[in-house]
Amino acid sequence: MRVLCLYFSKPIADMQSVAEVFYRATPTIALRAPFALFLEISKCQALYKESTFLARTRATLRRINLEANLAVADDIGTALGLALFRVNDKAKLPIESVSFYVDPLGHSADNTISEMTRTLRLMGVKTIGDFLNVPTRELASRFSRLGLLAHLRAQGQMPLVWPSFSPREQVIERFSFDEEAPAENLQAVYFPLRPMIERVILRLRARGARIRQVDVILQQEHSAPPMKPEQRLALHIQLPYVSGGAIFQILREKLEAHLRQNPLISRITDVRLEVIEAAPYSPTQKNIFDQKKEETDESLFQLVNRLATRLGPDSVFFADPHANYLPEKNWQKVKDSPAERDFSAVTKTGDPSEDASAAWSRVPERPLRLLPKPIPLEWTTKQWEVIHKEILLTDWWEPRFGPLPLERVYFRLASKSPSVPDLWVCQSRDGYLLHGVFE
Amino acid sequence: MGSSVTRIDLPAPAERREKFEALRRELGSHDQAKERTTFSAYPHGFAVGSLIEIVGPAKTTTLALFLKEHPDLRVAWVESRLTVNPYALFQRGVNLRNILFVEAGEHAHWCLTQILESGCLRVVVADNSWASMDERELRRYQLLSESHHTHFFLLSKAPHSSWIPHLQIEARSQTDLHVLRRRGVG
Repeated sequence: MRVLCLYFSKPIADMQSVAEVFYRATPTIALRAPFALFLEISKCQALYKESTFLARTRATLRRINLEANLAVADDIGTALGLALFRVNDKAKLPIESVSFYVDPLGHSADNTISEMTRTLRLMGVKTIGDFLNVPTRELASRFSRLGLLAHLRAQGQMPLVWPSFSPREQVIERFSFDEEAPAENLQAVYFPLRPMIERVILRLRARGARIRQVDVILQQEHSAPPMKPEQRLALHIQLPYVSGGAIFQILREKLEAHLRQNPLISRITDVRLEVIEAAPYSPTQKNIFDQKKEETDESLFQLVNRLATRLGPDSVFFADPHANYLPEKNWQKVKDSPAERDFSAVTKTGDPSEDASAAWSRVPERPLRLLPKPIPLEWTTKQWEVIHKEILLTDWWEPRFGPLPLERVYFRLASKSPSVPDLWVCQSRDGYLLHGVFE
Repeated sequence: MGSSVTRIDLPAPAERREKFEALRRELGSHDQAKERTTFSAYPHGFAVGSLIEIVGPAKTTTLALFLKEHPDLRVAWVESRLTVNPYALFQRGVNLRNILFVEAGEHAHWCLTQILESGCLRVVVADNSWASMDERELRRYQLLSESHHTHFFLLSKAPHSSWIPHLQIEARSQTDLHVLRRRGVG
């Protein structure tokens, strides 16, 4: 077993959220809040060398704006001691480290361990190396169970049973300003917001997910009724993002636009990011031979998100076709580019022996322009000729589509004048309705 | 008092053309005329970075044919009120995977500018049927299209009187195109 210890120079208020960032690397995680985090990385050696893993960990910590001492050892106690005291040799660890073998996760508030440490120092045992040279018989007689446990663990025997770790259901990141110095404007909010976004992205990525919708909540000191002290802003992300920087940029623009209409009443004491909706996301390896394509994809993602932020998530979309006779049901809006159509998956009758592409070709040609709401039309055979007739039965249990009847009789009308396009007209009880144009 | 006439012998047209080409190469100007996207209904092809206006009863059908012939081009289809039927495009062989539909409402100008400035889409289709664009907007789109090598197709009810479109075509049917006006690389 190989254990990586991350010992943070400053206490971390929410160690669980930091641990979730590393969930992608290993599910075996233990916490010693508020200063240390342990990752069991022996199974990562199939992918990374230890030095590579340490480098990646440092890069991740930089991304979320944290600093930590890193140390790798065969057990939690040794890793913690090496990280805290910044030595490379286990034998040189000071005798105070013996408490890390007895209670590595810091659950116990017992004074017995510190007394044992003091006694050992008085006996001239100053390092873990000296401690390991003490005969087991003597330890057992002086320090009973605790001393024996510490000795066995320092030797690498009796490993600790790791507690199970599971990420929280909802991903929430929070930052509280100093009570005496809350944020007076957005500039002070942006500073912690950027690493918060990175952390949210990494936590979701560890679960194979990505942000679809995230809410930013600004908690004000007080408010004047009926206004609430919380200002909430929703941000929809249409397509997968590679960088948190781009999300931050969009969020910033949206926040400024929102606060122009709903200005802050008082100072901000708290900022929260709540992930409302996440979507599956498996990052594929970048194509290093086609850098241009990667850049273009990134630009497209940013563009789509910018458009969706301004226009709304339903106004920017790709279209996914379905084999259906009804014009309002034969395609739907999708957020991601639709996958390659597998014809075998879509058949009209469900008969697996039927050639599925035949199902698509049975639907007659549809007009390129469809009116959102059909409009009444009068026509005569003097100007128009019927070139195709089609009867469609709608689903009786579904709401009616505008003024169109349940049984629709469509005519394709060709004009006798060549400069006028064909029309797609539906017969209704009161006359005819223009539904589409073959433009 | 006599007047003297100075005779200036201009070089032959072919020689003049050669000199212009050499000057362009020295200045590093982009030769758009050489980069053209083929189209079966229009043998000249469409110059990359050009603004093409299509009018007539078969304008959308013609554009669908162009997109069918170039399924790998990424397209943005922008309309204030979206009336195009994606299923009909699919029926006509257009690759919907590469078409981004944008219902821009009153933000059409902003959307088109953002799309053109991003440079990640090779074709932009704008529907001019509902509200006519003014000359300043058209000029902006033309410049952005040129600089980002994007085809800009404008679908209009009637040909715009502006000089800006490189090519104005009347599509009487899918394969019957009449050139109304052409300038520059159009």
